[in-house]
Parts: sequence; structure tokens; C-alpha cells
Amino acid sequence: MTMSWFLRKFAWVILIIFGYGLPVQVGFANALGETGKKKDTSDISALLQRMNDAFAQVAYDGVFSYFSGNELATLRVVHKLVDGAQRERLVHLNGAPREIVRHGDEVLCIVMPGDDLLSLEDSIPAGPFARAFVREFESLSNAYAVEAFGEGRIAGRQALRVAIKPKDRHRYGYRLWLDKETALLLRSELVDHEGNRLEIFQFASIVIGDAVQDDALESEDPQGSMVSHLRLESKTLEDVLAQASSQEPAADSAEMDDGWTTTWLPDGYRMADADVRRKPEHAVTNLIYSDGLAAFSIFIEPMPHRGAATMISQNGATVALNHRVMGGSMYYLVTLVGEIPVATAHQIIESVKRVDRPANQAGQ
Amino acid sequence: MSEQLKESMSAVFDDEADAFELRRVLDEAAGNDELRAHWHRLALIGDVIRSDHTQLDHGLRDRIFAELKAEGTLEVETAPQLHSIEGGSPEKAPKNWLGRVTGIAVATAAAVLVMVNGGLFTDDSSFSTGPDNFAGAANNNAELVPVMYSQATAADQQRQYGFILRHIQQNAMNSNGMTGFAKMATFQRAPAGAQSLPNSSEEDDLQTGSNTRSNALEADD
Repeated sequence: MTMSWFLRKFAWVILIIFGYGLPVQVGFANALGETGKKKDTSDISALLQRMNDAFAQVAYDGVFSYFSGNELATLRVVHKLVDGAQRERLVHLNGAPREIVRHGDEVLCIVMPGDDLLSLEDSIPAGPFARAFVREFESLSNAYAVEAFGEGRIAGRQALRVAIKPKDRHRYGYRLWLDKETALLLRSELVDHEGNRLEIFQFASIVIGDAVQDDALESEDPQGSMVSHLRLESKTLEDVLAQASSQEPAADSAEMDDGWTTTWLPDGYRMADADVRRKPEHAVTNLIYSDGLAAFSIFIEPMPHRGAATMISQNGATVALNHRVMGGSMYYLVTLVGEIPVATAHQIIESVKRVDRPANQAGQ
Repeated sequence: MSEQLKESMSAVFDDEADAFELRRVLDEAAGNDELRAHWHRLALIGDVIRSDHTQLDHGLRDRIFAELKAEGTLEVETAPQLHSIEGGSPEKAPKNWLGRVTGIAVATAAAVLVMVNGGLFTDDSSFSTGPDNFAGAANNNAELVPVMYSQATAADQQRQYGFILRHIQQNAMNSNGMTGFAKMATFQRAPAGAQSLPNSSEEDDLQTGSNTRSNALEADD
């Protein structure tokens, strides 16, 4: 299941490469199983397309490590098509039991009482990032370049390596290791501009193909566990493409919704979506931006009654910080969370402004 | 920039500013480049005094030290150490996600944290970010990011925690796939000692003592 979301993300990379000519530097041998032969752009595109296909179609059962910040976690993932539907299961192998299970569009978090994941929102605005990606075709090609860089060996399997390189300092880069036989993602790294690996995902062991058993998809349902239901509005690539053809891109990078805008954004970032969540005490405006790979969220709420501390935190690639801004006659607290460099986050959050609009235009 | 404003900022750095003065400095700094530059300089001086900036070029550090000695600034009292909310080692920040937030919470009038990216001293050839090992094409200078912490409460942390979790969920559900769900599946709010945060009053400061720098973020330097 989760692989399929990853698929969705990188599907846009594929499209960029095919349709918009994302610069690709090719220097590795054997992108598609042929040795010693220099490959062209279409070879890497085909490789990434195979990766996408593998996410959705290949059955796999593996244990992977996930390193983010100072934390190292070990998880098991099982994915298989059953009666034509994707089923996935992600199990946290350390600490308190945690499982994330997907059957079709239904996502369940199976956790113990008191677990933080029980506080997750039960639904997410339908396809915000899909709309964002529509706008980001052009910007993505300007923001990243793709480069193949040889081969490696992960979990006992030969892998082809691909780098997705940012062209400025406002986003991080990715290194991917794709299984040579199936193109399944075996390892990924999220890398900053000094080459530091902020997040690493890597299979330690994996079984691919018919050996994956159906019963491996069944939750262990630990005694006393609780279930949090999450609703995912699934969109196929075709759905997103259809939306893309029906929507005009935004006029400029500083887009606006609900009276709030960012007066500065790094090149390539576009608003993916915006919504307002009504809480008992007040409304929170949520603006979501993405450059097609990286994303950050901005939350705007009235300044708490007793004020709020200015804070920043960072774990791995994810940074969170807040900032106070005057809007009209009152103060608001702006919080930004995203997988972007701290300096960039700081610049963005300082650019958040309230935009006064005529009442009859509000909400349009 | 007025002398009064400079004095206010110095008071913030000296941990002598009250909440009103802190807010005033923050407001002014938001739109005043000169004030921000002054802030950077004060932050740098503070870093050098404490010698706790691991990425600071030694040559540059020595030169600043020499200047500070000449000015007598080194007589400034070394800042108190960070105290984590769970009463652990004062120099050891919680490792958990958002533990970093709790670790930097400050209860006194004002405290300052300075995060320095690799490109801070880009005018110093001996401390260069160097070529972008991965991206290659990046030329923008990283910049010093001053961040001020004041009176962080349980409510502050809970608020930020909620937004982080929501962002992670949105990423996982919409685009980030394997790593997104891995991030969600491994998400932890705070160390055990801070689990009572939701029940804390907004007025309950999480720390006592005067803190001027977050060790929690040193690892990111």
C-alpha cells in the first residue's frame, strides 16, 4: 500500500521526464540490464516507470530500516495484490505495537491505547497534492535534475542508483537504489546540500514474488489494541491527469487562499491546497505547498489568548517553526512544517501575510 | 536603529528582558534588516563566548576571541546550561521527535537559540560550504537563522506537535509513500517524562532556569 503512494509521487517525476524534458545526465551502465552501454534519457525514464509499476504490482515482504534525525526504526512491510486490490501492511517492529494496514482505500492504524497516532485526523482533504502536482510539472523540471550513478547492492540484491538533485538550496535531494530485476525501491536517501543524509530508508531483507504469503497481510491485532480509521481519497494517475487538463496553473508563486498569502516562495513551489479546519476554539487555515517532491504545510490561527512562544524543532528533514504576524487588528500565529531547509522555512514563514479582500470575494 | 532598541536586544541576549521588551524586539526584528544584522552579531558573540558552535572555523573563532578580549566582552558571564523538562542531563536533549521542542522550551523571560547553517561565514574562505556535493548547482548562501524562544508552555508544544503530526499524515496519505508512512509509524511526541503535557496548564512553564542555547539542535549544526 504505502509503496503505491510513493509510486504516485514519483509518477510525476516520470511524467516530467517524459513530457517536459527534465534534464537527465546519464552515465551509468546497465540501466535496463544491458552492460557497458551508455543509456539515454528514455532509459532512466523507463527505469523509473518500472519502479512505479513495481510499487503497485510486485508482491514483496521485507524488513527495512528507517533512519530520521537521531532515530532508527525497523519496520516490516508486506505488499501484495489480492483479487486485484492492493493490500499493504506496515509494522513497527520496535517499541509499542503499531501497524498501518491498507486494504484498498481504507487505512487503519492499529495501536495501543494512548498512542499518538490515535490523534490523527480521520480524513484528509481529497487529493490536495494531486492538484499541486498539476501545477508543478514545469516547476519540478526547473527544480531538480535526475542522474544515474552506477550500481549497488542492497539486501543481497543488485541495485541501480538514481539521484534526484535539487538545483538550489531550497529543497533537499534524493538518492534511490532500484532493484535491478524488478525496479522496486530498495533504498532511498534524503540528502542535504552538504551531502548529509537526513533520512534513510533501506531494506535489510526482502522476499519478492510468489513466495509472499497472503497471511502475512493479516494484522497481528495485539491484545488491547485500538484502531484508528483513516480515510484516503484514492486517485489514479488518470484521475490526476484529467484534473490537470481541466485546471489552469496559478498566475504566480504567491498564491492566496482564505485571505492569507506567502509573498515569497522558492522557485518551483506552488500551493497544493488550502483548507480551513474549524476547531472548537477557533479556525485554523492550512496552506499546503509542494514542488512536486518536497512539501511543507503552513498553519495559521489566531494568536492564543496567552500568546505563544516562538519555537523551532527539527528531526531529520522535517522542520517546524512558528512566527507571529499581524493581520488586520489582531495577531496570528503561523506555524510551518515541512521537509525543507531551515533557512528556507524561515524565509517563507516570514513572508506570510494576510490579504484583505472584499467580502464578496472571500472564499472564492 | 535606536540605541534603546539595541539595548533591548542586548537585554534579550543577557536574559534580562521582560516579555513586553521581548515582543517589541521580535516585532521590530521582523522588518528591520539592520536590527537583524545586529542580532546576528550578538548571537555570534554569544556563540563564541560559549565556544559551543561546533562548525565555527577555528581561525575565525580565534580572531573574534581576540577582538572580544580587546573589548572586554569576555567578562560576560557564561550562560546557564540547558535543562530538559524531564530533569535529565542538562546538556542532553531528548532524542524523541518533539523532544527537541521540549528540550528547547524556556520558561524565563527570554532565551536565544541560534542555528547556523554551513554557509554562515561565507565571507571566510576557510569556512566554506564548498561545492554542493549532491546538488551541484546551488549557489545561494545559507544564512544564519536566529530563533528566539520565550515562555514555551505545554500548550505551545502540544500545538506544534499537532501541526507536525498533521503534516506528516498529509504527506503520507497523499504523496510521500513508503517514507511518509514510515515517518508516521515511527512518530513519537515526546519522551515519557513529558507525556503529561496535554494536561498541563497553558500557564505552566515547562522549564525553569535561564537558557540561552539549545543543545538539541547542536546535532544539526
